[in-house]
Parts: sequence; structure tokens; C-alpha cells
Amino acid sequence: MPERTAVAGNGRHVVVIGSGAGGATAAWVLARAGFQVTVLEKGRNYFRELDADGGPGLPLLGGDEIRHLRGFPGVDALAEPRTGRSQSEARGGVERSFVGDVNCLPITVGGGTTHWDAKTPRFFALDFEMHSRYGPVPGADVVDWPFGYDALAPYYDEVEKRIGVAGDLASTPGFAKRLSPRGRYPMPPGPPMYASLVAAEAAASRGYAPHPYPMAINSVRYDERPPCHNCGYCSGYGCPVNARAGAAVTFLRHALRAGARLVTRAAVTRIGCDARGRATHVEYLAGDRLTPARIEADWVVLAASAVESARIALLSRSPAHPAGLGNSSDRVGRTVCFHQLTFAGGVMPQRLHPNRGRNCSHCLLEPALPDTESRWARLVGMPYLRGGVVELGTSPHPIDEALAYDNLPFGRNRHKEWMRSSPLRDRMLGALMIGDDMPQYDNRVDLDPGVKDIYGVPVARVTYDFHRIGEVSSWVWGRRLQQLCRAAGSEYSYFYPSEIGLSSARFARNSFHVSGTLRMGTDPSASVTDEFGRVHDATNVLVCDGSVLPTSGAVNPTLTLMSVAMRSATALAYGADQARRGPMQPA
Amino acid sequence: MGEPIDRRTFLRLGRDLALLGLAPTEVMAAALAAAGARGAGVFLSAPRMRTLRALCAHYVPGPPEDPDPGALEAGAPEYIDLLLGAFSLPLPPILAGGPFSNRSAGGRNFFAEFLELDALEERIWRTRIEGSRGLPEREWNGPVVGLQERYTRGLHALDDRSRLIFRAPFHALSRWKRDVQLWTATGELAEFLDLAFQHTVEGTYGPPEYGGNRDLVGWRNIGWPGDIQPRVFSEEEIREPDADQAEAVARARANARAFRGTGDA
Repeated sequence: MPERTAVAGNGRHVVVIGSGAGGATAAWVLARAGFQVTVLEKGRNYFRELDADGGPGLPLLGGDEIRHLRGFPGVDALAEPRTGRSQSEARGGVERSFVGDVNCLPITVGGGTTHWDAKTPRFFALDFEMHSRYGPVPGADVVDWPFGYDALAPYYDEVEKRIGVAGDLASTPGFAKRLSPRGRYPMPPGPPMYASLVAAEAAASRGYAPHPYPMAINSVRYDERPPCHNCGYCSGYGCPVNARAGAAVTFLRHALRAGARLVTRAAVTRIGCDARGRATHVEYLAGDRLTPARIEADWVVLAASAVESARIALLSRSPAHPAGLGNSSDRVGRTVCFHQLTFAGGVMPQRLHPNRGRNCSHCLLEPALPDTESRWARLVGMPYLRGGVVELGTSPHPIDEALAYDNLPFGRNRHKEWMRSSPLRDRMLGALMIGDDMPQYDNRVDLDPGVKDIYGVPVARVTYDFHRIGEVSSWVWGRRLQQLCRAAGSEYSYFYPSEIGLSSARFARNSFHVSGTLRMGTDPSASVTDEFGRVHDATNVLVCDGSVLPTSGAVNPTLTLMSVAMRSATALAYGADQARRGPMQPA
Repeated sequence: MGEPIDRRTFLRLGRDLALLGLAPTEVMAAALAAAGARGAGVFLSAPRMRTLRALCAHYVPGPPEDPDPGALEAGAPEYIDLLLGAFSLPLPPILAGGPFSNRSAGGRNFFAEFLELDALEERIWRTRIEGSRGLPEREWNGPVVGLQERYTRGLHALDDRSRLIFRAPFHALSRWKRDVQLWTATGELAEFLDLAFQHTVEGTYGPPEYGGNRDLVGWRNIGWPGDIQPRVFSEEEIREPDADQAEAVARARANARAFRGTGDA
């Protein structure tokens, strides 16, 4: 076990549920610290030779435009649906109004990071203290985090170093550096995309400060993985050469090399607890024939992603946890947040070939600033408006494009003309805003009383309404981003507010950014875990995914959830004092 | 239900071809050829296949209606039929392999090496394609109508309705009559048409290894390169407009100047 460097774990057994961004990070910290680590992953493994010397093998993923339409890797709404309804439907007693894909993340080794486009901006310092800086928000449960930006900064540094983040501090605007103070990036950015440059030039002409989007995609050989060769199959696809970082080829790989064990096709159904409420074992269905199995654990790390972790907690009822694991506060599953997607587009005269290179090489941060001066906010009785980071560029692929025309009047009839002139792909200039989502007490994940998955387990039901701040910010910024597309010289322009979203699904809330169901906090009556992710009611259960984020922030959340997971795992391995100082460096 | 050739004969054919060491895509092609000789598909009967061809060609027309190849030339109907008959092949063409197709370079095409489904995936996909058929292990959420039944019923309904209104099967109708048929469809038939439309574009613009987009005609028509590895894009190809776009770039600049002159700017 060449990568194991410490003996803090002393051989105690940790079962990690989920091999995605949070679980892999925790597994790495704990395996390196000398714990015996077993990672249970519900899905299949499309990577090969993850723990090989000299770098991971090439995966069974690549530029295949049909695979994701067939639910691979691991998003199959027939086998594992979710259900959805609005808050008013819930009040009216409607059990569900939708069955299907409700913000489902890939169930596979590496989780959501098998298909992400690896954008890794940091949260702002203000995100950790939204309540004390900006006050309460009507209809929302906005809280401060139990720690501030400075406490997380060393973990941001460490995660960025481990996964390899490319960025350019010199061209990052001053206000952004003040929002998230930081040092140099581990590597320079890769080549910019033409579509992003066109949008960035237009943004600059309107007074914004577009800059290279930090992303975990290699521009140089890094950690035994090659530089990106610009194939263009990025967001929504598995990287064919492992140039794009993800949980599997970074933390999980090194966890395996430090002695962790990966068990695939292990569908966890319950965390078992003793009479005092401490976790003793994990029950799961093993293999593709779903054989009931259990594994004993000294510690359990819950990292199945925000919706699934809440579901597992609710499934884990026991005499000590009659309402579900950690749910004495009735907080499990509440305040679920989905980032709100607002899309503005312009049809350009020229072809932008957005299929070449990384997806969206530039971003804007101005819309992510809380705007306390907004007259629209005053009009709707809110203390501020807030959008989020804007991705400049976009790169749809032909089948997605073909299906998008179907939504236009007579789209199906003039289909071939649309495909040739390509207003929604090759000539589409896009600006996608990923907006902050206000945590609402009644936005909640619980167990559906009537719908089960192929494992025979009740599925997660999502009760969700948009918050007024998100709605109004979406309209206000949507209009401004549409103007940006016009300033780029587009022939036509438009925007979709978050209520419509980008998804062709009827339940149009699929941002893939999910957080807030098992929040961290200092008050056990208003949170599920403490500042180190330990469940208040079951202190040997550690939550290490987006569930613990108290607020959703206004940028892509994965870097933050990995950094928080690393801090929590560091506290478990080396104690709270070490965790407050920063990550444990190898001896 | 379509039973174009004796299923057992066909299965044997598939296995024999596999034993001969043919690649999965070659098995697919041979299976299609064997069935196609009878005008039928791997799953669909000859009459249903005829209706499906007319429907695909209507959505994405080819010559003579349109100068460029359409869904028929791309093999979209065969793509759909292969999905419906996936489990009659030794290795169901459901999930392509990776990481490269090597289409542009030649050599081993990893996409064509379809991945084996495990028992759980096979249960899911048999349920999706064949329906639950009253089997308890396929009814975790109640009965499921499979794609096979949706296609046979949908295509049948389309023909029935055409005969009722226009006294001719769908494939024999003129374009505007087919338009009327499709526009006025409701309920189950409209849902089937949504499904068939999605599958038609998948079969026209998807990777050819799945049985459609023959000779890449779908992509050639729209300038989509598909997976070109191991060739890669140069930095210039990524960051600069293509040379043939100069006039359009100038128009964009003029549009931008005009916009700055408006009150909106």
C-alpha cells in the first residue's frame, strides 16, 4: 500500500456509501490515514485499471451521442425514478404529479463527475454568512455556515491541487479575487473556445469582466493523466482519455492505491444502528441479482448525493431513530436546493463550432453578487436579488439539437432545414446562468408512499417550489444576458427563465446541482450534522456530499462539496483541532 | 406482433455469425440483411416496417423531396427495428463500448464492441423493450407497456387511421395528407409519434455503430464530425472562426454596431 502514510485510523473499518465527488474524497483521506475503507457503489464501473501504476486505464466512456439518451451511465428513470410535486400540490394532498427523472445524478463509479464539465469555481466568502450579511429572507431559511471561507480555504487549495484545476489568476477581475481570496492555480487554462470568446467580447462591451472559467481539465500532463486534446465531448459525456478530472480518476484512484476496497453493484437500503443510535452496519443488495447483504462498520460515511443520502437516512428507521437516521429535528430532506438555470441565446450569422475544445471556457461572476439596490427586489418585497455564475459559450450536440426543434412551432415539419442552418447548435451563442436557490423549509425530499424502484425500495419524492428571489433574478438577468447576445451581433435572441429551464422533461428542474438536505449547523434542532458532517444523533455517521451545504451558493458546487468532505474526513481521522488548521500533509 | 422470420432460425443465425468471429456490428448488418430480404425488420413485420419507413422519411425527408440524404438513407428505421429486436442478437446493441470509435483513423472501433449488460440491466432493458408481460420481477412499479408493443400498436393505428380518413395506408399518402394525419393525432397515437420522432433523429444523427446514420450521411448533411479521435482539434481550430465564415463574422460585427446604436444598448 504505497500511498498510505499515517496510522490514525488504526485499522478501524469505515464504510463509505457512494463513490462520487464527496465519497471518493473522504475515502482518500481515511484510507491514507490508515482506516480500513470499503466504498459501496450502487452502479457499474465504466473505468478500467483505476489503481494502475503510471495512470488510470482508458475508460469505457467516450463521444457516444446515444448513450446518455439511454440512461447510461446510471441515470435510468424507468429503473430508478423519482417523483415530484409542488408545495401547493403537497398542501392539497396530491401525492405526486410527476414520475421520472427529477435531478437524478449518474449512479456509477465516480457519480456525477463521470459526466460533469468540471467547472470548479469557489464559493464566495459572503456565501458562508448570507444571514448575518444580508439578513433574513421572507419564505426562506437562509443561515450562516458553521464556519467561514477562511476555514475552508486550505481545503480548497488542497482539493484543487489533488484534482488539478486550471485557471488564470492574472485575468481574474479584482472583485472576484476579493470574493474568494486565493493563490495561483495549479496549472494554466487550456485554449479558449471561439464561442466563449465571442460572448466574452460582447460581455466586456457591456461592462462585465468575463474571464477564464476555472476547471479541473488538464492543460498539461498532471497526476499521471494526459492534457486535454480538445475532442469536444465534455459536458454530459465521459472523458475518453481521463484528461478531465473526476472523483474516480483522482481521489478514488488514490484511495484504492492506499488500500481502500471498491464494491460495485451494492445498493444500500439501510444503515443499521444500536439502541444508543450509533451506526453498527450497512445493509445492501449485492450484485446484479440483488442478494441481501450486510457489512459491519465502525464508521459510516454517507455520500450518495443530496437526494439519495436523505433517502437512505429516511429508510434507516430504528428504535433509536424512529423518524429516520438523524431526523429527531425533522430536518432530514428539508431545504433541498437545486440551482436555477436561466438560459439566454442568440442566433449568430456565423458558425461557432462549439463542439471543439472544452465546453464554455469563460464565465461571468457579476450576476452572482447579491444586489441589494434592485428595484425589482423592493417591488416583490425581497432584501436582494441574486443570480449566479454565467457560463459563456455552450455546446449542444445534434440529437439534443434535433429534439429542441421539436419544441418550436412546426419544428417537426421544417426539421431538416433547422438542422442544416443550425440556429440551436452551430450558430447558437449561449449564456447559461446557474442561479442561487434559496433554501425553503417546505422544499423537501421524503419517501414516496407509492412508487418503488427496481430494488423494491420507496423512491425519493421531491416537493419543490421556486423561491421569489430565484424567479425574479432569473427574469431580470435573463433579459440582461439576452442583451449580451444582441451585443455579440446575433440575428435573433431569446431567453428561457428558470421556470422553463433547459430540460425537455416536464419537471424542468434538472440542474444536476443538488444540496441542502442534511445541513450542517451548530443547533441540533435546526440542522442534521455538526460542522464536521457528523450526524448530531448518530456521531459515527459522517455525511460527505452536497447534502451538508447550508446554502446553495451561486456557482458550481462540486469543488466546495469536495473541500467540505475533505475537512470533515480530516476531523474524523486526525481530530477537530487538526481539521481547523487544515488538511493533514503527508509526513 | 411482427414475426418476420422464425425467431429460432434467427437466433441460431445470430449465434452462428458470432461463432464465425464476426464483430457485433457485422452480426447486426447480417441480421438486418437476412430480415431485409423479406422486406421485414429484425423485429417488425414487412407491413409495419413499410409504415415505419414512411414515417421516418416524412420526419427527415431525403431525395427526391430533399436534395440531401434523409432518415431512410441513414437507416433510421433499421436503427429503431434493431432496438426493438435487440435481445434477438447474441449481444444486444444497447450500450456501445469506448473510449474511441477510430472512425477517422481506421483500426479497432471500440464503440462497435457493445458492452454486455449485467443481469440487472438486462431485466431493465427487457422490461423497457418487451414490456412487463405480467412477470412480477418486471413490475416493480406496476405493468409496463414495452417499446415493441408501442411500435406495433402505434404503426398499426397510424395505418388504420389513414385508411379511415383517406382510404389508403399511411405510406401511400401524399405529404400533405400525412401531415394532416400527424398533426391531428391525439392520445396514445400522439405519444407514440413523439417516441418515433425521437428515435428517428437518434437513428439519423446518432453514432453509426447503433445501426443508423449509415455512411455518416446524417452528420455530413449538418457538418457534424462526430468522434474523430485520435485526430484532435488544433488550438487555432478551437479559438478562431473557420475561414469560410468571414462574411458572416462581418455581418455579426455590423449587427453589434447597430445594436450599440439602439436605445436598448
